[in-house]
Amino acid sequence: MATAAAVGAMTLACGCSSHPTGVLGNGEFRYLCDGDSDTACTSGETDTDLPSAAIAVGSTFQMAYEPNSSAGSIQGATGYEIIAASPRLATTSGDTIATLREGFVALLARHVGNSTIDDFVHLQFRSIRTLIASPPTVTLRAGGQESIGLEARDDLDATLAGRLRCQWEITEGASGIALVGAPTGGSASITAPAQGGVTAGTVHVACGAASVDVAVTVTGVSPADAGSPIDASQALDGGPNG
Amino acid sequence: MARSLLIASSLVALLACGCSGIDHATLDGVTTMPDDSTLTTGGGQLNTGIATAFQPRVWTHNIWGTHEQTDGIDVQTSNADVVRVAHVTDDDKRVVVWAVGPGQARVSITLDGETALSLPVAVTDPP
Repeated sequence: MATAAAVGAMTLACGCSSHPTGVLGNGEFRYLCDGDSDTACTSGETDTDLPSAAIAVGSTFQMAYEPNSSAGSIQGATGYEIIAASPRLATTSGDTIATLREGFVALLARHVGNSTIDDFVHLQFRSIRTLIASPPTVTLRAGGQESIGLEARDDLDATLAGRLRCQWEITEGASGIALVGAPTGGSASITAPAQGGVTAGTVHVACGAASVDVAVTVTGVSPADAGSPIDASQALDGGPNG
Repeated sequence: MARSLLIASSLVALLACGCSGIDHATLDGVTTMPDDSTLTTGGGQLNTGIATAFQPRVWTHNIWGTHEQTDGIDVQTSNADVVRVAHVTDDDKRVVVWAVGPGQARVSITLDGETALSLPVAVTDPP
């Protein structure tokens, strides 16, 4: 009895459930994590429970469905496709769902052969109101590299799930600060070349209608590289005639 | 002989008067929807993207009383651009109805092709 009570308490405490997630009780929907930045996923896990948080409008995510009768793995269940109830709120391509506008949307596990529905679940999409950069400001050494992560929040300041689709650009100090690659997601790396000659800059990132600026300070830049009127080599050597 | 004729003629009269047929239909076990969407035997108001499931049940009546039918029940939509309907997998008697886009549709429960209940359903985009 004490054990049962403890298990019950743990279940309540962690929000875990052994029951299928589908409304009809016929199967379980899983949220897939593939390494992209997503607040619904923790590092290293391949799938997780459906997020209790809403999902950011404009983001994408992946889902899988496993019927109760299947003995296969979560991602191994075949014969079902996940469709969105309305193309006005979400589009699906394979197991990837792209969110289009605010609202609740039913995602249905449809049997491919006969178009019957095995189960469905509702998820909520909410617009991004603010973006929180982490770290909010970046300091990196000349020649170094740092990462910037983003967290999307709604108008209630609640964190939103989903893989963000964002535009990253260097709006200040672009001659000495660069994005690594061509990031389009919820995280990016920036680098400052050793001889870039820039001591400060700004990274601007926009995800949908929300945006944030991240101030970047580059340290270890020699005065000459930084554009100082004093020639660094001359200063170090004690002067032009020194 | 006269009594037999009377009973026979009474039976014929009962059958001829339309005293048998569909009695009523219900939506049983309508699943909870996450917003203010509703679906009842009187009609429905669904937000775009919402789905719900229920078991359609139909009763017929005849001179012996009212009886629930278990076969030949189907659910159809008049406008698949607004509302779609699908059966649940594996002989489950439930159906799933979902709101595709704004507009009006009628969701009909039929018994052997005869309409037992026709619900007006309005779909609107979420605010």
